[in-house]
Amino acid sequence: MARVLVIDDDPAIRQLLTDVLEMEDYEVSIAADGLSAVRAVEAASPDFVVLDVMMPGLDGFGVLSAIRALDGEPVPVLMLTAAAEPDAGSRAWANGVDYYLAKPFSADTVLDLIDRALTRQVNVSDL
Amino acid sequence: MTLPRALFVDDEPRVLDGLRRSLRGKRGEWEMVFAEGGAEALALLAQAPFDVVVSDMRMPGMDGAELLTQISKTHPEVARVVLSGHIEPDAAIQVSVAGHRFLTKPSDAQSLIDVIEQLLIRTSSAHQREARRIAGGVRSIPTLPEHAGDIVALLAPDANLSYAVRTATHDIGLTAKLLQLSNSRFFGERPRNSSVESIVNAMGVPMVQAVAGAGHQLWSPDVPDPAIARHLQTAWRHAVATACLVESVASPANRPHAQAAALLQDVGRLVCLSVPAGDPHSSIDLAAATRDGVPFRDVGVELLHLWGLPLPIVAAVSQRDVPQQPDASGLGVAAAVRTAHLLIQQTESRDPAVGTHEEELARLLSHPQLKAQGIAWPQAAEEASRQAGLWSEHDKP
Repeated sequence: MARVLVIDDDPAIRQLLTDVLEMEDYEVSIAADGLSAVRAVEAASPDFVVLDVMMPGLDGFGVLSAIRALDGEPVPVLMLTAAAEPDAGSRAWANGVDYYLAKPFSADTVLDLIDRALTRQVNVSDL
Repeated sequence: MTLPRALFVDDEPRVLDGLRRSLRGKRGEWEMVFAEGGAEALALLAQAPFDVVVSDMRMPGMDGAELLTQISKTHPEVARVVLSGHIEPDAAIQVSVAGHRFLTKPSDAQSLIDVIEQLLIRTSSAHQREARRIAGGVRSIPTLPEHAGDIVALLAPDANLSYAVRTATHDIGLTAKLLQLSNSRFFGERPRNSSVESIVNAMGVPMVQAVAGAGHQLWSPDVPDPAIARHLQTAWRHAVATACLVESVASPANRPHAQAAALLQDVGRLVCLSVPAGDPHSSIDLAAATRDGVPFRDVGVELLHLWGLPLPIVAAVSQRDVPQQPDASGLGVAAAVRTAHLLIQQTESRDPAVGTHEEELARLLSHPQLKAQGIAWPQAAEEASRQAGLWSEHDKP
C-alpha cells in the first residue's frame, strides 16, 4: 500500500485529502506544521508528500529544502499554493518540487495526480 | 478459451506438492504442470507450448541454470522465473543471466502469483507474440565494441566505486541488468526508486564486477555490418546524451527513472541489431526499424517488461516517439525523457532515424517547470551532446 504524507496547517484540507486518499487505498499520515513534517518524512519514509506552502513557523519552502537535504533517494513532492501568491509556482519549480497545484483545486485533481505520479494509471496492457 | 500454461520444475516432489497446494486457488485461471527435473521439463515443452516456466536452481543432473539457458534458446517465448533456495550472491548473478525474474525460497504464494500474473500480461502491441519471442531469448544486452574497454577496465582488480558508477550509468546493458536484479527480490526487499548510481553504491564493486563479468561472456565480440555498426554507435551516443541532459530536465524524484529510461530508450534497437550475422531466419529493415516485421521499440518494451523494470521506465521507453502533452502540474518521467530526446535532436548527437519535431519541443520548453529553472536549454543540450561525444571517442581503438 503506498504511503502519502499530507502536510497542511488547515485541518479541513487535511481531512478532505485523508478521506479521498484512504478511499483509494492509500495509507495516509498527516503533519500540521513544518517541523513535525520534516520529522515525519525522515521517520515514515512516505512514497509521496503533499505539501502546503503557507504554514506558521517553517513554511513549505523551508520544509522542501529540509526534505531535499535528507540522505537517500528524493521523495516525490506535490506543492500546493494559494492563488494569492503569484510567484509561488516558479519558486516551487526552481526549488525542486515534482508537482505543483495552485488553490483552489479539487480533491479529485490531487488524487489523479498522485495516481499518475505513482503510475497507478499505467498498465502494461496499455503499452 | 485456452488457459495460460505454467510449468513448475523442482527435483523434490515435496516442493512441487507444496506449490500445487499453495497455488490451488489459480486452477481455474492457469493450467499448471509439474516436472521433477530438467529432462522431464524439456520433454513437456516439446509436446505443448507454455507461457511461463518456474524452476528451482539446484537439481541433480541438469541444473536450473542449464535448463533455463536451454529454454531461452529453444523456447524463447516462454517467460523464465527462477525460484531458488539461498545461494551466494556470485552464484545468484550467474543464475541471473538465465532467468527473467527471480524469487527466493521460501517465497509466499502471493509473491509467486504476482510475478506469474505480471508475466502473463500482454502489451497492446500488434506484434506482441513475436516481440516476446525476440526479447525472451535475450540473456544479456551487448556492449558495442568501442565501449568494451570500459567493461574490461571495470573488471580490473583496481577498479574503484566511482569508476563502477561511471561505467554502469553509461552502459545500456549493465544499466538494464542492474535494474533487473535490484528490482527483483533476489537481493532482499525491493527498493522504492533506485537510481543506477545508488544500486552500484549499495552492491559494491565486486558484485557489479560479477554482474558485468557474467554478461560479458555472452556479449557479441563485434558487429558485422558497418552500416549497422554506425547505426548502433549513433543510437548509443544519442542515449548517453539524452541521459546526461534529462538529469536537468526531470524533477528530483523523477530523475532516477528518467535517466534510466533515457539510456534504455533504444534498447530494442540494440537487441534487434545484435542478432548474429547470417541468421537465416531473421530479417532486419533499418529504414522501417523492424526485425522480422516487429518494431524495434516493441521488442525493447517487451524486454524491459519481462525483466521487471519499474513501470515508469517501461512506460517512458514505450512513449519515446509519442508526442507528449504534460499538464501544468508537472512533466512526469515520460515527458521529461521526450523533451530531453527532442533537445538532443537539435545537436550533433541527433538520431537521424527519427524526426526533430520543433513545434512540440517549443511547446514542451514553455512548460512552467522548465521555464522556472532559468536554464538555457539549447546550450545545455549542446553540452550534454559534447559530453556524450567525448564518451564515444575516448576508447576508440
